[in-house]
Amino acid sequence: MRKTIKEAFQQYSEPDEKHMSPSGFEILIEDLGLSMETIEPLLLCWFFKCLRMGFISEEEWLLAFDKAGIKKFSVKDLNKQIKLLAIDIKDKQNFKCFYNWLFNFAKAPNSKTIDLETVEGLLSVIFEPSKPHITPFLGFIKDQSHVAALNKDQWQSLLDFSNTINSDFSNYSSESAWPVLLDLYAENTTREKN
Amino acid sequence: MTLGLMDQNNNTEKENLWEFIRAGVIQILNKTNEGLSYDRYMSIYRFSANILFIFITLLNTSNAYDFCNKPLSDYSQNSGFVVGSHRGAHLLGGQLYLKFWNELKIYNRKVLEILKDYNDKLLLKKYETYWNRYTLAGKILQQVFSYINRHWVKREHDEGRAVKSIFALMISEWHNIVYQSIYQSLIKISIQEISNWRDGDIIDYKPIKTLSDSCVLISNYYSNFNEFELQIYLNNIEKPVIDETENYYSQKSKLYLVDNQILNYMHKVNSILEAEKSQMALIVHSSSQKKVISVIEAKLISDHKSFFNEGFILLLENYQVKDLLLIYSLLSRIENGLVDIQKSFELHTKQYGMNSLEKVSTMKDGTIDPINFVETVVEVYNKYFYLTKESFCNDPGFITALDRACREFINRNKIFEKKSFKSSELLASYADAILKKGSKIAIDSDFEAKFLQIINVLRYIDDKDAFQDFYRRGLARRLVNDQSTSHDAEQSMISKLKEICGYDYTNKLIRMFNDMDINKDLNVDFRNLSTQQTDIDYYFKILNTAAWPLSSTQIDFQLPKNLSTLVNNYTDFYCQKHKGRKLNWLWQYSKMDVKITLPMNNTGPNHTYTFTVSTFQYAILALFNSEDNKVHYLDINKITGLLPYLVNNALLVFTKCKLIELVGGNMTHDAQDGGGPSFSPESIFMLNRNFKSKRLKINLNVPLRAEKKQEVIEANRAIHEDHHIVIQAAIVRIMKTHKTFSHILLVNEAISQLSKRFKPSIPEIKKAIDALIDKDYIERSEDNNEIYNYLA
Repeated sequence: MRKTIKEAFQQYSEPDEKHMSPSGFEILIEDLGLSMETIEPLLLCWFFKCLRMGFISEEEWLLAFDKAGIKKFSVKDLNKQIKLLAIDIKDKQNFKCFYNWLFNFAKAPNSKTIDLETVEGLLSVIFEPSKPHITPFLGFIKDQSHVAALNKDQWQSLLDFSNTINSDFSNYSSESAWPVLLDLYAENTTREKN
Repeated sequence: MTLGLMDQNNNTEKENLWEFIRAGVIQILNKTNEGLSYDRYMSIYRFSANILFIFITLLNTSNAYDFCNKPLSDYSQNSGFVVGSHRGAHLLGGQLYLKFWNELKIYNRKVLEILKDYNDKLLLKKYETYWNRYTLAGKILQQVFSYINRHWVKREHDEGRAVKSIFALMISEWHNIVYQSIYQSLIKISIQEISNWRDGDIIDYKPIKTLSDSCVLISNYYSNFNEFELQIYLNNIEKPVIDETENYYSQKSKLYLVDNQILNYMHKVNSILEAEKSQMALIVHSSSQKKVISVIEAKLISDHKSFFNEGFILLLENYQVKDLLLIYSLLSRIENGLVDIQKSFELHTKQYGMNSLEKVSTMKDGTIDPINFVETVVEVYNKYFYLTKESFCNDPGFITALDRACREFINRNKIFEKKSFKSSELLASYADAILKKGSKIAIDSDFEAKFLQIINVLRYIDDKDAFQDFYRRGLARRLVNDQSTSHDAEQSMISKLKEICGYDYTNKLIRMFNDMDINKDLNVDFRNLSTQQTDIDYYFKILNTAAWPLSSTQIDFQLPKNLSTLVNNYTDFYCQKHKGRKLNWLWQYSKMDVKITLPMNNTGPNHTYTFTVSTFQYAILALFNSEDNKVHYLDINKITGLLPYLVNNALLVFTKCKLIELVGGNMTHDAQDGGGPSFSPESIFMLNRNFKSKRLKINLNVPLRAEKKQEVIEANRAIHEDHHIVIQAAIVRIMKTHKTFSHILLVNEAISQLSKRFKPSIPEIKKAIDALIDKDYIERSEDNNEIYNYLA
């Protein structure tokens, strides 16, 4: 007997609470046969359009299944949705939406930044190691004692920077609109190379 | 001549009439050049009067109108003068015209025959003679046959037939018969003549001019006097002359360049251009003169532009003012001729400025000498400003080049890279040095000149606001320490600053002066009200925080008792006068004279010494007013509340001049607290009771180098913070107007809005943009990361 969507939510959420907490979320991931070290848990949150990392509200849960046209809960259907999203974000524009959503999702409530540890965790999961500038940029900011977190503009610009600037910085100009932190990164890296 | 000559239907009579006219025409054609004697003039006059009379008679006869109206072809079909038989024969305009035309042909053929017997210069000369005679005759005949011109020719024109006036007919026949047959020989001879002249021969230019003029006249008649359509002239005369000129000078320029000397070449070219200009005015039509000259310019200047450009650099290096004027005037003749030398001028001036500044002397403490710096800048500027006036005729291109060069070498120079100095700071120090008492560099009379120099240099300085800040600090120091040379000089400088720095800024400076004036009255009032007698002489200065760039740093400082009473009294006095105001005493800017009579133990003649000390120094010195004149190091800090480094600095000064002696503990030399030596905590100090000095007045209030440096650092930090805020404000202003704006436009707009105050760097602007994004004043556009949106 397949569970209704609502019944399934109650199975993972805290008793008498209208949301699923990180511990419930981890059980869900386990049931789906996924690993926390991959992009898939993030895609699952993206599926639910979660506002906060590790938390899924009942409203988000119901709405997401409803939108996907799934009437009864099944592990197979949910896994299929994740696969669909994985294909979906291969499109640059869709990926950008996902990436920008990640910032608000990952930042602590009432904060305007994400701390470096979270940044590193996210970036290593969502990007291939070969993605230009991501790994060197992480290395750079870890050396900067005054950089403790990234704000929204720095986060969003990082993706654009990685997408448009060649690995050798040949098409980089310090007079473009990049945030100062990315300018520092570029200046530092090119200086080290020389 | 009577009317009887033209009886009706008498052909012979009419032939006779034509014969009469013909004789007159031939006489005019052949003899006019012999000069017009009174007799000849009268006979021509009578002749033309008679012809006129004949016509009037004819026209008054009935039907004359019809005949006159007949087309030319009708007349030519008739052999005689008689047209229409019912009224008898009339001598008609058309037929007379044809007869005359025929006569012209005969005459011109004869002239051609004569001319063919000549060649070379003589042919040219003969052409001139015949042309002059012919055109003079033409003018007379135009008068003689004016009736035909006015009536018959005009009527033919009105009917739409192209019939030439008498003179035009003459020019046309000359062109067809004489000119066309020989002009090629004539122009060849003329060109040879011009060539000979260029090689130095003396030539008779008048026949060439006549040939040219005749051709212009012919062209005029063919183009109905359209000034811009001298087609025949352009092809027959101008083009061969220009071709020859081009050919001649492209060969010669190589010869002139053989010795590769720019000066020789320039003088040669200049004299050629002058000679050609006056000679061409004598030879060719005015419309061609410029063209010929520009061909010469192209061959002698444009074709050798790089030679000129190299020569220019050489002349500039040797500062040859007159020769630079010559090269300027030559290159300004050709299109875009000045672009390269303007660049060279800019580069040279910039480099010269850089090199000169590198030689600027440094002071004992390793800082750049501001006086020498500004004088060097002014010297470089004057040197090259002189050239823009004397050599480059105030050409705006050169003035701009000078401005750019000055801005470069004044703001971005190697000496600033090595030492963290800026022109703005040095210029302000220079101004301070002039306006400070005891200034060596300014005697009263040339204050004004020095001020103007400061303003001139200030124009080129990028961070004008930094200058303003340093200048204000300098003024504050001068006023607080009573070191200002002259009130008038200060005012004069301020009024000059107004133009560049604006009213808001100078207003602050003026308010500083006002404070000083108010203080005079306040001190007098206080003295009058004061009941207590005190042996301390004093002067209080109350400064408005908003106008003065001074701030208090030492808050816990404890004044010695004798001073604190006085100060408290004054504070009460002031606060009663101005309720609600709060006074913060700036002890670090206060100073005093202290009198001590030494030696104290009456062992010899004693002297009263006057020491000028800061309030802090006095507070320490006052501690020695005890019985044993001894003080423990740690007590000083405890009693006065002074920070250790201030205590240390004061004690260093005292021990150096031997007023105070270290009697216990020791002095360490490790680099701390500004790099100087310091005292160990257990040190004990004692007043030197046997102090001796040749000078009775001793100034101990000397700022240490570290303190001076601290002030500069503080000023720079203040300027930097101010920049950050001002840039942000400018960006918000711009974004508020545009709502959505691209990065590049925003940066440019911000620079242009701020450039009057200072020149913001791009990283500075980007930092401000980052800060504003962070504060949600603006956001980066979702679709284009080079575009910002304003968030209301």
